[in-house]
Amino acid sequence: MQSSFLLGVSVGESFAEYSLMSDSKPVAQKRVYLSRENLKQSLSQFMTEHADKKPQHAFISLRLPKKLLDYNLSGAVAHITTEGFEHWLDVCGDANHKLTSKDLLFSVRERILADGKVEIALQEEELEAIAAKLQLIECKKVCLHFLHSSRNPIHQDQARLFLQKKGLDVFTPEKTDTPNEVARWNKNALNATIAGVHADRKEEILKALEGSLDAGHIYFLDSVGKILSDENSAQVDSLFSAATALGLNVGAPAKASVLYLGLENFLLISSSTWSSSWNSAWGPLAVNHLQTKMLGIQPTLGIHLNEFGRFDFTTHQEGWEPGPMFLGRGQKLSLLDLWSENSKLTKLQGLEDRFSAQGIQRAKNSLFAISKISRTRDNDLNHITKEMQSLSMQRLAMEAFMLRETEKMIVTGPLASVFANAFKKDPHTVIETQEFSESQAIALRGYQALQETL
Amino acid sequence: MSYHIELFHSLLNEFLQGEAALMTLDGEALAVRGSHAVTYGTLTTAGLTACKYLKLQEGDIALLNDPYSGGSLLSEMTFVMAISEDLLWVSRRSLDKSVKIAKSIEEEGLRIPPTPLRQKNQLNEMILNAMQAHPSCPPHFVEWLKKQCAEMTVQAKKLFDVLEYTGFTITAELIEEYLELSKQSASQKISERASGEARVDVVLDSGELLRLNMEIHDGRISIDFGGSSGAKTVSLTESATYGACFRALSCFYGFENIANSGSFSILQISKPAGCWLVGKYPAPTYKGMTCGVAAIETAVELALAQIHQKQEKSLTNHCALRFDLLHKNKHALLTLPGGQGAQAGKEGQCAHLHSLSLEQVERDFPIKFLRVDQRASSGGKGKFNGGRGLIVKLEVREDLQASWMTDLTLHRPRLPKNCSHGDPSEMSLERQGDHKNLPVLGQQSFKAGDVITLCSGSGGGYGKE
Repeated sequence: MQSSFLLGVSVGESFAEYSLMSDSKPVAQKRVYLSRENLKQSLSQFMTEHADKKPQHAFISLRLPKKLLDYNLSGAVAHITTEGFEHWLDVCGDANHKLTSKDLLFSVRERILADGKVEIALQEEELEAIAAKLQLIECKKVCLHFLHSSRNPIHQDQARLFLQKKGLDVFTPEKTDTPNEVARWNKNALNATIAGVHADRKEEILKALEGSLDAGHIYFLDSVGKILSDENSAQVDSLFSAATALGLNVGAPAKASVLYLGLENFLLISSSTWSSSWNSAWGPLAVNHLQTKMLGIQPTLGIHLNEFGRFDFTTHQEGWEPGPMFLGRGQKLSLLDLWSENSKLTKLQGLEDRFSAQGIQRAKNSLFAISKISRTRDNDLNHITKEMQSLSMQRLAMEAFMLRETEKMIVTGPLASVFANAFKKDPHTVIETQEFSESQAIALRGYQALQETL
Repeated sequence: MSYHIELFHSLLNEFLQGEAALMTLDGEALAVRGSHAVTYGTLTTAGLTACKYLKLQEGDIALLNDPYSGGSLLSEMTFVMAISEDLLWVSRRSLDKSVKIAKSIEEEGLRIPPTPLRQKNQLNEMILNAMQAHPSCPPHFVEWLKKQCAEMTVQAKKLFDVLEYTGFTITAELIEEYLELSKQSASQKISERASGEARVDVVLDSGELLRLNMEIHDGRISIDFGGSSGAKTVSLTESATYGACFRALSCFYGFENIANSGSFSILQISKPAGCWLVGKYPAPTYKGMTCGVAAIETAVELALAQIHQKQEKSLTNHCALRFDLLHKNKHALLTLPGGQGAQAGKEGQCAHLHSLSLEQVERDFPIKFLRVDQRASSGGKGKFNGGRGLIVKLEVREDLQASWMTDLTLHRPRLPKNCSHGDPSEMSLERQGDHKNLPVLGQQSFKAGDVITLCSGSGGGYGKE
């Protein structure tokens, strides 16, 4: 690599981190808590502060908050399917997580057979009627889900052109070899659902980088660690770009699994095994990505009394909005509250000036209140805290050892230093206390991907 | 560290994936995990049977699928591995499933009694060859077995790495405390709700009567199947019966995550000898393991609804419709589950399908799907409607064979007063303009142009409309 500067930006659900790199080494880094700081302003400020180090290229990974991955919050999307299969995605999905709205399901009498032959030709009159309805209810986005369109896309192409002429945003499944239409349709539906929010987020980033580098040198990464080229699949693919970059750039050179201990998630990422499907809350989604396992122990898991009446962690992540109690706004005790007085956590960038003494005290009060009804009859808060810290570290180590694909494992991420002791007995585990490994990996992976395209 | 119980519980959850159990050689079940009801009774029986007949040493693996030795369906292979001097890991893994309509278990497929698969780190090639030579042996079976053995060995090593690198030890005291806490927790969850007695009769379509008498007192449950009839075409093993009862009860009371000898001890079951719940070789068990288990789940749910009138819930349709397509040595099993029952303030959840690709089935078989949806039900209505079942309509494009099975469609058990019945499963055939209903169980050839409609049952409704 030449001694020019690269910018790596990782935008997560609640945190964003920026790494300015020179010769593979970080020269400036920053993390922001998105609940308190604006993405555009913070990135723009970061670039201004380091105006002397103008990057040649910027590589971005963009994830959206889970609550926005829902049609209720992201705007209406209509679905047009082959007649008889209007509810197919609902039938295959989870009752509590839907990508469709029953008022926006339409069908047309078209049929392509498994061998690609057209059995019933698509009639544009039917599309005309649907388009009129959509215009009446001001629905702008529409997904086309025709059976066997991956084998013969004639009807899909015909309908897309027709509806585009009517001014609608049309989303069609990627043409892949995946024979599972559910995974392809689900991905398309999720892409359509989050397209608007994704575009807004993307726009914010592009505006923040205006003046620092040319828009043509800003690249978004996809789920296989390449530069995103297909806008139609950008939204879902970008959800996995950071994990894939970590697997390829941190794990693959050492042939090791990567345990990423981030502020939002604890992930175990393979460095060589690829997965073609994501088992999402909405059902399977066709996304090629490095196999990534979400561990059972997570940084914002709640704390409660388990079925034995003893302290334990819940299975629900409280998340960072409003966040752990030590930030002063949260009302629910979570795993990281146990470390609220740990200097390694309190010094973390993005959090260091956010700890609230009042919040920490409330967390202690909350722990004490739970201890009163616990069956262990232990009211010593220091003891409970240490025991729970120990439990979380042991559980983390157990899960990682059990699930890792390779004996060798690299532990990295902002919380790696906090949990490092859990792995000290394993000779195959390497702790990399590099706080900004995610944005660094994105910058380096992006640069390699760009070189490959040249 | 005083949170060793939580750590142990978490370790069991991580280690036991799919249908699996960890138990001691003394027969204490430390944990059973799985999504199939019969798993909760059969896995420990399989472990004990394998130990009884084969002296398993550390690292040895035994294989079985015989329902009378603790197996379930013949397509489900149960592996029993001695992972240490005193711990057994029982893991059940599925082969290709298909509908079996047979008069004896030998006709249902290859039946494997407890068989030593791996001893002293060596696979037993002689036995593998003998299995491969059996006419009912599934294709590529031996390769599949070898792969499973290799996976299990790696997973067992990982468990030991975990114990070594975390310094965690599984002691007799820990096991004793864990089982005692599990028993107390299960018992407490039962005690928190009403006590009482109930009697329920459920009649299968083939005429077998399931009579269930349930008593709940002092945090314990006893079930007596006295009065249940003998087997006609449905037969179930004792361990599978236990599993089906335990699973239904633990899900209702919310202790399904602590299935072990501790929580098992709160449930006592008695069955008269000769009834269909105490199947004897060579009775076939496929129908028992599917429709028979659904009948038990239905009976347990009804009995609980009678006892716990404040949490009254309408009946879920537990008996899925299984339709197995056969064409040129290929087959595909479509399993259509039923809808869930409604309860006060909540509609029943509609049935969902998982892991089915219409395009893939159409590529593999000469059929064309005409419609797949949640069915419009006439039953299951109420202030809160029962969950809808599924409807699949398909057209046959070349001659093919199919076999199918469902049950609990003819006889309607008595329901609590606020509840109504949902629609039963149905199958019909349209051939050259003629429409006829198909029986609940069958096997026949279908011709090009036939249109088959499959409907799974819907859940019951709750309250007056």
